[in-house]
Parts: sequence; C-alpha cells; structure tokens
Amino acid sequence: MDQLFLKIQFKNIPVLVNRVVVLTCLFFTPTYSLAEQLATIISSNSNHYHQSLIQNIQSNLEGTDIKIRNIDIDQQETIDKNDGIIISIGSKAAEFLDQNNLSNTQLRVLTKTIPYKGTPKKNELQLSMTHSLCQQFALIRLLNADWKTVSIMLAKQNTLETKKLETCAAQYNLTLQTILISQYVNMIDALNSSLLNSDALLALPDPSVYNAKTVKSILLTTYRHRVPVIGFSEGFVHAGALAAIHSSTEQLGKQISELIQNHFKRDKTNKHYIYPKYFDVTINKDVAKSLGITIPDRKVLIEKLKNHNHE
Amino acid sequence: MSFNKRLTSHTKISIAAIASSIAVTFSLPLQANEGDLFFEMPVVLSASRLKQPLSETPMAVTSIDRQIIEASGARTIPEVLRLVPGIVIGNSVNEWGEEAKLVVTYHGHTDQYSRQMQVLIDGRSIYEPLLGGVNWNMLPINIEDIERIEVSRGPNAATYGSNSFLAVINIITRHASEDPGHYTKLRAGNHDIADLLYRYGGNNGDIDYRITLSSQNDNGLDAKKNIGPYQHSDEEVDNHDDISTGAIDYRIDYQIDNKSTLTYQGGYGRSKLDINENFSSAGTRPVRDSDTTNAHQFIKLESVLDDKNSYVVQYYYNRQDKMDQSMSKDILGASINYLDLIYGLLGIPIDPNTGNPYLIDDFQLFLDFGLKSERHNLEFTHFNQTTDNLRLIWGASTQQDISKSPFWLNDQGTIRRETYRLFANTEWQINSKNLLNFGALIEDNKTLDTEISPRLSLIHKFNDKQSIRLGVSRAIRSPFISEEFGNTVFSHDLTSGGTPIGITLLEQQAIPNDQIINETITSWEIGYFGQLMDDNLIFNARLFHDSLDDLIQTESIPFAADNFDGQTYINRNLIGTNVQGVELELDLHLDSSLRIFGNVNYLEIESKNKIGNLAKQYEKSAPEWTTSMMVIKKFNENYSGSLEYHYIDKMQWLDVTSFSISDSYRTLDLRLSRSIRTAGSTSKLSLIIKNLLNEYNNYHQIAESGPLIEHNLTGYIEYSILFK
Repeated sequence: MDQLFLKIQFKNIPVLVNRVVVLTCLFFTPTYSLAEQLATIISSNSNHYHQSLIQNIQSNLEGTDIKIRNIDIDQQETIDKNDGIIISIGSKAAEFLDQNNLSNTQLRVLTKTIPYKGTPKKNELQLSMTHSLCQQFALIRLLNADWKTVSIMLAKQNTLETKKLETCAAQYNLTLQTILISQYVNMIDALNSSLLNSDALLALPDPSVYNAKTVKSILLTTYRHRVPVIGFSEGFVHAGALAAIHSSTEQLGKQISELIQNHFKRDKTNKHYIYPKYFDVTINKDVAKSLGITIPDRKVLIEKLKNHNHE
Repeated sequence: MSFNKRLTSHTKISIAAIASSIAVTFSLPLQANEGDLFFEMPVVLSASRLKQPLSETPMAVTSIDRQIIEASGARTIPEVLRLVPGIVIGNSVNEWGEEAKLVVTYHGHTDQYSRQMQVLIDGRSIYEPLLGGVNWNMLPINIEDIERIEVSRGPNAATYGSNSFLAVINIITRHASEDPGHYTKLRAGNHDIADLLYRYGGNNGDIDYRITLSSQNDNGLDAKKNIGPYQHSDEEVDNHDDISTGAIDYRIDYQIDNKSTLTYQGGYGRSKLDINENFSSAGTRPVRDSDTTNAHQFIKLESVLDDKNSYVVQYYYNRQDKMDQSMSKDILGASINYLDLIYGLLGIPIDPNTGNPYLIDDFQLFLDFGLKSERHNLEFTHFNQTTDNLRLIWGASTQQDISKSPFWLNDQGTIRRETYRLFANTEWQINSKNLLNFGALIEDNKTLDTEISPRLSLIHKFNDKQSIRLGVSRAIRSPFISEEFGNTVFSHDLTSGGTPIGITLLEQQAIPNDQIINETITSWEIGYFGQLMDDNLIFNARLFHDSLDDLIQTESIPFAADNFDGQTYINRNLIGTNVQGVELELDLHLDSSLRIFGNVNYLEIESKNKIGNLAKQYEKSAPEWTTSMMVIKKFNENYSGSLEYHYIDKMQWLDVTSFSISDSYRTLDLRLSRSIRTAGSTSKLSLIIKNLLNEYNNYHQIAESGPLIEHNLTGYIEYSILFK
C-alpha cells in the first residue's frame, strides 16, 4: 500500500512542482500584472445618484487599463472572485456583498455616516459619501463661535456610536443632544421640545429620518424655533438648511477612481474607513440672513476645514 | 347632560377615525431611496417665505409668534394684537344702532371701522372695500391655524399699497404639513361662551391638506338698565350683542416639483349678530339681527427659478354678503320731535276740506343695511438677488372692488373700482455696516389721482447685535367706496288717516363727494435694534414723527333738498394731524422656561387745523401712554401658565360722544394649562380668566337713554386634544 502511494506520488512530482512554482509565482507577482485590471461596480441602476457617481468613476478611469464591469443588483446578476476589486455603492449593494461573502478587495461606498459599531473586514474599505461628524462639528464651530448645543435626530435602530460623537463634539466645545425617533415618538413633537435648548440641528443622511416627505416639516419646525439646520447635501441647503459640507458625484467619483488605481498599484491604505477627500461648502444666504446669522466667507470656511483631519 | 352625551358619541366617532390614522402617522416615514437624499429636495424656505430679520426690516416690526398666541388664550385675533406697541382694541357697542364690533387701532384716528390699517392673511388683503376696515368678528380664520402675526408699525404702502397707512397686520397661517392628525378644541365659559373647533390635517403624496371647522358663540357684554338720563339701576338687561359664527376653511399645499409649490386656500363663514337699537335722541333703528356670510378663495404659485430668482403669482377673491333688513321705529314717535322739524321746513300742511292742519300719521321706514362687496386681486412678484449685495423685489397687481348696498349707495347699483399697482423694493448692502432699503409703489385708481408711495431707510450696524435705523416713507389711504360714493336717501309720502296728503318727505342722509382725495401720511423715524444678553434679549425702540393730511371726516351740512331736517352728511378731507412718540419693546428669554414680552409707549397727537371739537376729537383719539406685558412660564413638562397685563390711558374713539371718553384702565389676564401626553395623543386643559381687575372700560357708548355697558370678568375653560 505504501509502495503504491510512493509510486503515485513520485509519478506526480513533476506536476506538483509545476503547480507549486506557478502558485508561488502568482503569489509574488503584482496584481496588475496577473491579468487584466478589473473593477466591478455594484449598484442599483434605478438610482440616479448612483448612476451619476458611476459615470464620474468611469470618466476618471478613461485612458487607463482598468476595465469596469457594472452589476445591477436589481437584475439578479452573479459575482465571483474573478471580478477584481469590487466597489459597492449604497447599503443595498453592501448587503448584496455580505450575502456573497467574497474574498475580493472591497470598497464599500456608503451614504450612512460612519463609523458603525463593529469592525469592517480585512479586505474591506468603507468610504462615506458624507463627511465625518467631527468635521461637521468643526463646520458648526466655524459658522458660529457662540453656539453651545447641537441636536441630532436618529432613528432608534441606528447603531451610531454616540459616545464617540459626544467626545468629538466636546473637542469643539459643543454639547450633543440626541433625539431618538421611533414609531412611538412623533418627530415634530420631539423636535419642538428639544429645539428649545438647541443652537443648531445637525442632519445626518438617514433616509428614515430625512426624506422628501419629512424635510418640509423639519425645516418649518426648526425655522419657527429659529434654529438653523446643518445639512448633508447641496440640495438640503437649497431646500432651507443653513449650510452643509458635502461632496459632489464628480468629487466622489474622482476619489473612488483614485482608490481603484491605487489598488492596482498596490498602494493600499491600512484604514478601514475613510471620508471624502474633495469637498465643498454650500451656504444658504437667505436663511442665514433671515435668522440673523453672519456667516464667514465660504472659501475661508473650506480652507479652514481642509486643516481638520478627522479620518 | 345632553351635552355630555353628545360629547361621548362624538368622541367615539373620533376614536374610530383616529385609530385608523395612528398607524400611518405614527410610524417612521417609509424608507426613502438613500441616493435621493443627495439630490435636490423640495425648496421649503424660499426667499418669498423667509421673513426678514427684525434687525434688517426697513421699519419697526413686531412679530407675535405661536408661543405668544397660545399663551394669550385669546378667542379672537384683536386680543392678541394688544401686545403690539401702540395698538389698542375696543368693542364698539353701538350708539348708532349698528352691530357691535371688535375694533383695532394703531395710533388712533379711528372710529368703529379702523380704516387706517391694512390687514393681510398670507398676503391676501381682508380690507372690506365698501365701508373700509376689517370685520374682526367674522374672519374665517382660526387662531389655531396661525403661525405668526407680523405687524409693521408705520406706513408700508411701498410694499402693500394704499391703506397700509398707519400700520400693516400680516397674519401668516401654518403650512398644511405642520398640523397632521385630528385636533379638537372645546371652550366653555361665562357670557355663554361655547366654542368648538375640529381640524384634520393629512397628506397624500405631494399634497398636504388641512380642513378646519369652527363655531364661536357668546352673548356679548353685560348691561345695566337705564332708568333715566344717564342713570342706571343694577338690573341686568340684554345688550343685544350676541354673536354666533360658524366657519369652514381649508388649505392645500401641493409640491409640484422640487422648485414649485401651489397653495390653495378657501373658506366660508357665516355670522349671526344681535344688533341693539339706536339709543340716540334721533334714533330710529330697532333691535334686530344681521346675517353675514364671508367667503374667499386664494391660490398662490411659488416657484424658484434658480439661486437668484424666484417668483410668486397669486390670485384671490373675497366676498361678503350681509343681510340686515328691518322696519324702523315709529318716526314721528321718536324722542326728537321730527314733526316740528318738518313743519319748520315745509310749513304746516292744511287740510283744504276742513281748513285745519292735517293730523299726520306716524310711519315707519324700511331699513336695509345689507351690503354685498367683492374683491378680485391678481399679483405677480419677482424676487431677484441681483448681486451678492443687491436684492430686488418687484411686481405688479390689479384689483377690482365691487360693492352694492341699498342703504349706503342708494340707487347707484353696483359700484366697481379698479386699481393697478406697480412696485419695486431694493435692499442694498452697501458694506458690512450699512444697509439701504428703498422702494416705491405706483398706484392708479380710476376715480382718484395716480399716487406714488416711496420709502427710504438706512440701517447702520454698530456690530452683529446692535443697529440703528433711519427711515422716511409716504403712504396714502384711498377713500373707501361709501366715503366717495355714499348716497343714502329715504323718502315717504305723508298720510293723514291713511290717505296721502300730496307731500313727499325726503331724507337725504348722505351725499357723494367727487372732490374727495386720498389721505396722506409722511412718516419719519429713528429706530434702534439690539440683540443683547447672549441673544436672550431683543430690544427695539422707535422714535417717530408722522404728518397726516387730508384726513377724511363726515361733516353735517345744510341741504335744501332734504325736507326732513334740512341737513345732510358728506365726507370731506377736513383735517390734518402731527403724531409723535416713542415705542419701546422687549422680548426676553430668561431661560428656556421663562419669557417676558412687553412694551411701553408714549404718543401725542396734535391737530394741524383747529376746527373746534373735531380737532379735539382727533387729539384724544389715541391714549398717550400704553403698556403691555406678558409673562410666559413653563413650570415643567406638563404645567404652564401666563399672565398678561395692559395699561391704556384715557382716549376717545372718533365716533363716540363726549360722554363716552374711555378712562384709563388696566387689564390682567391669567392662563393656566396642563398638558397630558400619551402614546397616541396630546391633550391640554386650560383655564383662562380675562379682565381679572374688572377695570376694562374701552369704547362702549353711553347714550342718554341707553343701558350702561360693562366689560366684566370673563372666564372659560379650554380642552384640546390632538390625535396624530
């Protein structure tokens, strides 16, 4: 029996050696030289914002060797380990990745504010479309040196680590007041009572709290209390928020394409979550004027915010 | 007992309806597409909807917000307006046999119609075009639906056109999305106060809507029986000033797209009022009822074109129909001897058959004080941020007033008056310290001269918190239709033993005046605005001098064609006045649970023309000193209260007799509330006591043979419940 085994083993030695050599070479060869450079973007085609972001990623990668595969999660397409670096856009796409449990390098672009409770996987990098709350506290402080208390409204199921936020707010001498919204708490009633003690409301991009249906009541209620809203998008500022630090799809597309290129250059970051690198600040001057708030120059605000590194 | 039963059954119905709605309105909003958050959202706080900061308004503005309105416990809007510096209200319990009215004046110059102020609801003028002024008792609007009331103190015709003369009251109602759910309010108290309000607010996609049904009832003021000339016993008598109103009003806000909103409001109200007889010596009007309906339709399109441009197009229609028909008291039996007057003018008629004077029959006249008035108004406004430092608001409007009244306009049929307006206002931020506001409105009225109402104001900021304002403006008040076209005639064929004797009596009570011109005001002011004590104190002061000219007043003149008493009335530009004074206002938030809101004001009116009694009347038409103060206290999550105090110096309304000067008086009102919150509802129980000092003594007439009117303590309990 042993002889037979040896016979077989020796018979296969050339094949085995050959395989080991190939695998070893593969292991030590840079990724980009292994095969074609492929980036797979998972998103929902029905989402205009996602599509705008993808177009910007594609245009930034034009002229490079990186090929892009688009997967629409609504079309039941499959994905596997040969799909290269995977970029998921939105939480639905992130859930899709969770279900597939792939070992590919993953860049998860999320609308929700990070960090969340729990640690991202080793092959996973999270990019928030919105800016760090610490940076937003910095913006609030730059907007007005006298404000003391800032409220945030969270859905009760939100897993945001409020302790970290409070610490961050404290860095800017701000006290954080959290309003928890659930199906048993009326949002406007909660706002009415908490805004009495607030200097500003910091809006977080949680669609269960802020959406086209609720934003009207929220802005009218805060305006009645003469409490400015710090938004998370340019659209929110146009709707009636006082100001927002935000990144456009062009700016995010540029950053994501840089991250993809860095991946293929093996220039990897050791961080698990990052924030937008390129950003803008929008101010609603009409609202500022109506609330009697004097706002510093926008360009000055942007320059000062660049110095705040909260990643 | 029956009331309780009705309440119980009503509650059951409500609960059934409410239970179905709780599931919808209490849950968190449906998960929206997360990417949509980053695209455009509906523009909520557009340039047209934002209010100017008080530190930058070109004139003094008092803003009565929702908290103050609720804390006042008021049943009517005029009660809330008492908190505005310089505003005094009264209740015109009549001497002339007209219905009792709530009257509001800013700086006097006012009779029971208070014509010198413009009143707007969401930009819709509710100024009644035939008789002028606003009928506050019959407004189809509920205090519960009001977001805030802004009162521009001083002329503001450059923005709102004629009649924005001494002040402008702008009532802003709440957006339909702000009041979701079922809301019911019951109120009951002495003076037969019985009020009920039900409101439902809902949403369907891009449409928010609200509908409110309301009813208000009370029996007016108390009165003591007349037992001789200016003498009264303690016996209570009916003052015949009961009021009963019912109204329905609704508002729909449709978000057409992210940049455009369409608002549609409408309402219908009906008021039944008891009207007392005319107690003057020549009084012929009997005790009777009037029945008035009000209706309005208002549609407004607001659209944001881009970051720098937005526009508003609005159209509204107001209509009032008043029924007030009766037979007069016996004319010859009236306390004044009309027969002697007639004989004096016509001679004593002799019966040719007997050679003796005719025994003339007593008679009655058919009185029809009914009226119908309508207003159509179409307006376009463009908001333009021309540069970072220059903002322009310009627009145009056209308005048609239509009036008809058998009494006021006799046989002239329907009177129509068209008005066209063009206006522009600019705000130029000269530098970080100085802001210049200038604007003008050109108004063309077919029967009166084209007028320009300009305004200029310069605001200098000492720093972010304090500023000073210098302003000058000119405004006009156009005579209302009956002032210009008023033509009141009665005629009667005299009879003796039921047989005509060939003599027709003519009573030309008022004649039109085609020479009448607009009243004018030129106002100078220095204002101070301070946001002090860590922004917890807002203090403003206004020192002003107003010059009023060509004020219209009714004058009695000899009139040969009138063979009843040889006199008639005509409206003429008779007098001018200078008004100067100071107004101090504060709004102090001592902490989040304690707020003090108040003012102190001094005013002098000096007549330019020393026309005997008329000059004196104008000089007394506003109190020299007034002060108001409200303290609002939130004791804890459930209990809150407020105290409201007013001091009003003596004054005399223009249409009262010298016996009816209102002495100085103080009022003290108290409100205590308890809120009860459950998972599905918020309810509030309040006790309100008005006139605790029992001194309130404003306006009522004292006629020689009339009752003594008393404003006694009024108390009521309110219970409201909101199911969301």
